[in-house]
Amino acid sequence: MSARGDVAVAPEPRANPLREESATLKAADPCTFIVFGATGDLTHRKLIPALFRLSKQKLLHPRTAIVGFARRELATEAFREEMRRTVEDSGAPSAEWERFRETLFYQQGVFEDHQAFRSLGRLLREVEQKRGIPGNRIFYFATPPSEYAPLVRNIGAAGLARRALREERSLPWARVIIEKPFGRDLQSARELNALVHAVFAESQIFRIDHYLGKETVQNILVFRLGNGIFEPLWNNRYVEQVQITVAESVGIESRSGYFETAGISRDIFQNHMMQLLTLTAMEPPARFEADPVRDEKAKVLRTLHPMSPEEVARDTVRGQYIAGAAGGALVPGYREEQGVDPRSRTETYMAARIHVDNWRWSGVPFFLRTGKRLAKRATEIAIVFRQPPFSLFRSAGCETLEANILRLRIQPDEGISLSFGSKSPGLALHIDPVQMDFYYLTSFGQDPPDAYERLLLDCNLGDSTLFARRDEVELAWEFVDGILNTWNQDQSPPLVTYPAGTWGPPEADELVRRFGYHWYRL
Amino acid sequence: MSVDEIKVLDAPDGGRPFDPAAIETDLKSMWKRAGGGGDSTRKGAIYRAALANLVVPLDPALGLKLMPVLVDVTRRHPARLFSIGAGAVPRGSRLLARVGAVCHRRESGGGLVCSEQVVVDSDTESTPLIPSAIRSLLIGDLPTVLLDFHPALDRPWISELMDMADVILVDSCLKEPGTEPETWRLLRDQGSRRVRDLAWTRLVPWRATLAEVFDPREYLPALGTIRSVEIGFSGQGYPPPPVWLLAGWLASRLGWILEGKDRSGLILRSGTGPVSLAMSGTGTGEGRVLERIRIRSGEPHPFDMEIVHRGRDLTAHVDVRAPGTTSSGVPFGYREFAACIVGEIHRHAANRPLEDAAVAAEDMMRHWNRA
Repeated sequence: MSARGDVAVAPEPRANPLREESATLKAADPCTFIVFGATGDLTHRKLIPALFRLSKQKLLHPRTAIVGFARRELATEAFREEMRRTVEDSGAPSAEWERFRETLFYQQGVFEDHQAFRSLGRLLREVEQKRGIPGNRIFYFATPPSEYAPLVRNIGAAGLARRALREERSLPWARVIIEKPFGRDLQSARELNALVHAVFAESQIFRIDHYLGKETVQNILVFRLGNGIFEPLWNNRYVEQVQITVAESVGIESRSGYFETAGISRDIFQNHMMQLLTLTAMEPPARFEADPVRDEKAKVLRTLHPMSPEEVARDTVRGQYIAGAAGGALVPGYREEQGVDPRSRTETYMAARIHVDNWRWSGVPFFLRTGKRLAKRATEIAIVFRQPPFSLFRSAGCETLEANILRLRIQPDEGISLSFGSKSPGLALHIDPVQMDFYYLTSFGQDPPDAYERLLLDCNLGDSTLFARRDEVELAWEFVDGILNTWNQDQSPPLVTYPAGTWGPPEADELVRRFGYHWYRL
Repeated sequence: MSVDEIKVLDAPDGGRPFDPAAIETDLKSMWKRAGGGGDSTRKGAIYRAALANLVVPLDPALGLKLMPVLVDVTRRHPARLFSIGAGAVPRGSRLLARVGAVCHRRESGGGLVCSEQVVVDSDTESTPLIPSAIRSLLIGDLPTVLLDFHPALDRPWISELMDMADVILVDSCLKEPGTEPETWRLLRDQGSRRVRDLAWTRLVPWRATLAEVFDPREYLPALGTIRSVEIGFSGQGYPPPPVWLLAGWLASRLGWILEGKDRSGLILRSGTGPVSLAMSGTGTGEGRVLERIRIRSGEPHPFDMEIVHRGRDLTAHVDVRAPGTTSSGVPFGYREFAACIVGEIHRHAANRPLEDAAVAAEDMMRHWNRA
């Protein structure tokens, strides 16, 4: 301790000693959410209900504002009324709505019209002044990807977002949330990244893949790394194969325009499935923070074995559904769907055998499959363990034993199960597979929260752990491009069909049967 | 929570003489009946959920007030709930028990999620039997949480319940004024991993707000030159536990040493000089709830600020009077009592700041009482 006159002076603290325990109690900053595409389906179904629930749970700052921007002529009052209907559908008590409705504002405009962005700027300043928001802004692109470029340009040109140079607590921040698909191939993803980077720094960009906001997806890491018994088994010594399934029972609904140009490969495989793969295969990060986690995910993508044209022909399957019976009803085939080219070659199903070329996973095949109009809606990761090294019970007539399977159920019936063999009651020695089950609902008594709630709050808090980083997106495209290029150039493997309501084409069964496996029932 | 969200499956009044086998049978038949339908209030499936055994000795006088809190706790953290009414039945009744279930609708629709409830009532003479009764009905592979809401002082049966609990949640605010150190001694003896004081949990938004005030680089050095702290609470009389714990927290985090007491309050010493600590009731309102804190720092980092929060407001007012003058409303993370309880059940780590604050608070209280 030093002395200055007769006043003893303690060394100035570098960190706030009152903060020690409060680190996890970070409160959301007051900010304005600017939703582009405010009259669209995503805003109605997901964004406004999620923001409303966050508001109800008092997780948003009380001064938060939400400004909708869309082409449709709409007064703020009419916008509020429209949003009320979306929220009341999800069971909102009206007192809480009354508080929330005051946070909603609307600006009509065309995304290409820079004058409209000047008007938006005026409205933002007015709202911020009225509600005491210090200029913090989150721009949400709830629009088709084709609108991203004019949006970014006009936000930049109108000076609505301040580019972050470094962490400055005292200055207002700006962040942008961009929906998937981020690009339609590697080149377009790079172009889009370059465009967005002209206005926003990487730390300001939140590429959203709502799968990462699902409680069960986050639980993959907790399950693996928060329990002592699983991580030691999480490698090629104990794991025989991994199966990842993202199955949808619905068709393309009203999205034919988008789906015709995207296909299941761009709609689900390049993003959701690659994210599930990286979370399953990644090494433990040094810290549970945004960059260490995303570093490890990117490393997995770097170690994916690039597929040669021959491997694409042999180890991938692409299919398209034809008319069939799904969920007890007759449904049309993909080519008969409204807005689809009757000669369309767009794939609605995709399966692939993938190798992660690293020490941990060498020799372990990862089988991935996803499709529309499959038998049921289910997303699951199945870790299939190796058989015991010695068949102790063969002499007692138990020739084959079922493999132990750890199933991480992402949706529905969120939970985890482990199957193992058990002696059936009786005098004879019979071994039957039985299950240990964990269900979120019966353990925690509640369904996991909606993914958008978590992700919108994380963005407000500046936590990008559950958002995709530039290199992740580009690396995923690099791998998927290798498959798509062969599909397009060599037409190999051929596009096959499967009846709606089934588990996909027989060729996909053959893909795993070649290695002595079968797809596990969901 | 609206009444519509709570459905009690089966909780007949009265009860039968305690018999663990009969209780388990009652629970099984209750679930069987629930699964068999016939209740017009139910739509869809019924899920029985349990993450813990929740053992709650209730003061009969507080039972009605706390029951809605317990229902809310089971909604947030399903459990087999044991509510214990010690001395709640007439002499000669011995131990009585009945079963029921507390249910809430799934937010996403599609049925009810239910927590089992076992109500155990005893006459005054049979209270020593309560621990063995509870022990016989605990779900073995789930943790046991004891919510000690019973203010009795001579409580060997509660000590026995404590021995079987993995987590003990005590609310020093429910204790007789001046007896709070008992709670803090328990915390010191058994560690904050096992024992938590809900009075501390209520301070979470106060601590977060205070920390936030000193976050800016220009204000941070003022923590080292604090000269006076005034803490105000609603009502009047002896300072309530949250006031002591907040004072203890500041003293322990900032390294103050207690020196004594004068007419205005306690005198402490920081590394740079004396700190006066005054605690007083505002004379208005009820409940002896923390309402304001004013902190003043001296040279070379003069600072003067006050935080005021009332009731269940979601905003606290922060006035900085020097350097400069600013006044702002900041979000205040007020949490319902049930949310505080569940937050502590979810905490699995030791809480060093609480341990340190409790030691400092007990020390301060001893000096305060000397006068």
